[in-house]
Amino acid sequence: MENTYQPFEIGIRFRVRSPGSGRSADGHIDLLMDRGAFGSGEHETTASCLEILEGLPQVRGARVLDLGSGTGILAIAALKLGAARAVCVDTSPKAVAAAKANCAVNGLEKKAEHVTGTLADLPPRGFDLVLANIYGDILLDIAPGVVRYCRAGGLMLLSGILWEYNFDVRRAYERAGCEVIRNCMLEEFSTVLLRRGRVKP
Amino acid sequence: MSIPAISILLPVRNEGPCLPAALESLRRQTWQDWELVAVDDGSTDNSLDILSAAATRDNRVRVISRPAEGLVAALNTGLVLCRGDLIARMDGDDVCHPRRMELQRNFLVRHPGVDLVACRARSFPRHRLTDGLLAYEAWLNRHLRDEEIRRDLFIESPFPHPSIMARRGVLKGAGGYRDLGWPEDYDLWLRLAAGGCRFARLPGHLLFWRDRSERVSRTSSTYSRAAFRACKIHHLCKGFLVGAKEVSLWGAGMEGKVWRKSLAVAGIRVARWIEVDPRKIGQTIHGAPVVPVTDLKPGEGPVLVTIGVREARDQVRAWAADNGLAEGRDFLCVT
Repeated sequence: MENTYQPFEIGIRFRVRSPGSGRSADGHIDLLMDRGAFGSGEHETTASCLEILEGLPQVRGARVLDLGSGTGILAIAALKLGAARAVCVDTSPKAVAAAKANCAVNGLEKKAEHVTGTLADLPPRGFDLVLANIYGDILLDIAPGVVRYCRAGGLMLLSGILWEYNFDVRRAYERAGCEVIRNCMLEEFSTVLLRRGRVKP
Repeated sequence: MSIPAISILLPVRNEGPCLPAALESLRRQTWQDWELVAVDDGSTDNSLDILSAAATRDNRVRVISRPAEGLVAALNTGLVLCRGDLIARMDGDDVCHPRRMELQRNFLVRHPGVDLVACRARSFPRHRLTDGLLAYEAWLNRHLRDEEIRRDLFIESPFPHPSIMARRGVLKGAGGYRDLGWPEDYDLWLRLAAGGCRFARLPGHLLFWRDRSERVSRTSSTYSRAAFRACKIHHLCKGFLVGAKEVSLWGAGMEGKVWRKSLAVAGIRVARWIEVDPRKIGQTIHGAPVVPVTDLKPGEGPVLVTIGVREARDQVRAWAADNGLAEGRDFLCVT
């Protein structure tokens, strides 16, 4: 781990801080993350997902899939909110290594599983909550797969969707049998929360 | 109904699949005082149904249904009906950033000397974009100020049509759109420029430009390279080339040669070719000698720069500045 930085809050409950920078004593949930979590300029999408996650009672006890997990921050946040287990998937071996290390530093290594690859590398499973903070055009391409990995009645939290893809992404997932619960338009990107329908599409 | 601040002019033909996204992006605008003048040009899909449903839900939406007469007729029909002092163009397969109307309107209010403001555009879906389109997008988005836009006016069309907002008086004063077999928007920008209009482009990406293989600008001869050239030459003959019977062309490559042909149609012959390639200097191409750059002197007649590569164009400009040739007076870049 490297690079300390000033801790900062996201949403009402989370505080992001560098490992070794101490612990919050005011009730905030610490997400101990190496600096790389927020270096890329996609901060608004990660922040948007964390704000939505902290308000979702369904996270407690959930089996979580974090697709395109990167540093693992969303999976870590879900686990800290009481999710039962998380599977972190990323095509980048470096990202998978970072996510493993971040989960360990947060004391979550026994609850997290890490896969280098794509959805196709996962045996079929019905997750309660699918997190996918990846680009909108990819979310469009893999819509049927993402929906398939979410159990009927489960939730999908999709972000990294540039403005121009927002409508098309919502429509693609609605056509795959999902219902839009929330649609948040950010400055450049957008975040969509969906529920997979109980009736098979 | 009170007169809105902005009229959004939207011609539509068979945009059913993408129209809902376009319309939603207008409903999401932070600036709400607009009317949508949607002209359906004889759509044979469900575009008119989508527009009519939108009008039922929102009394800012006005729908005019016409038999198919083409884009220019649809645009002019809509233009006459636009009531706002500011007119924004929109296309049925594109998406606006929610702050587009607000930011363009505020800019025109704060800068009364500017007549037309565009914005940066971002094409999508990204993975399908050709190198050519990416290069055009990068070139477009580079120019924000009037003088930059004007300097490159004859290289490419400076504004994606659905990215602009202009003062109604300026568009109507120019006589609206014309159907002359070349791009109607580029023709309008060149007329506005000749009339002294001042342009600007906002730095934000406020228009998302959907790229589809069936886009008219890909398939119709009106938008071919030859049509663009014909449009440029038509306007050059009223300005930079007014009264000229001959020109020098700087660049005797492929672009230079197609320009020679197009200029000949307009009754202008190439008197000489300017080249840096020593293998070409001393040759005669289509009856005109190829001479070195060092032969160029100010005041010897108009020179059109027909070199296609941007880096080479920059070198031409630098050389010209060092040797007393003024862009816009002695030479003009047209590729």
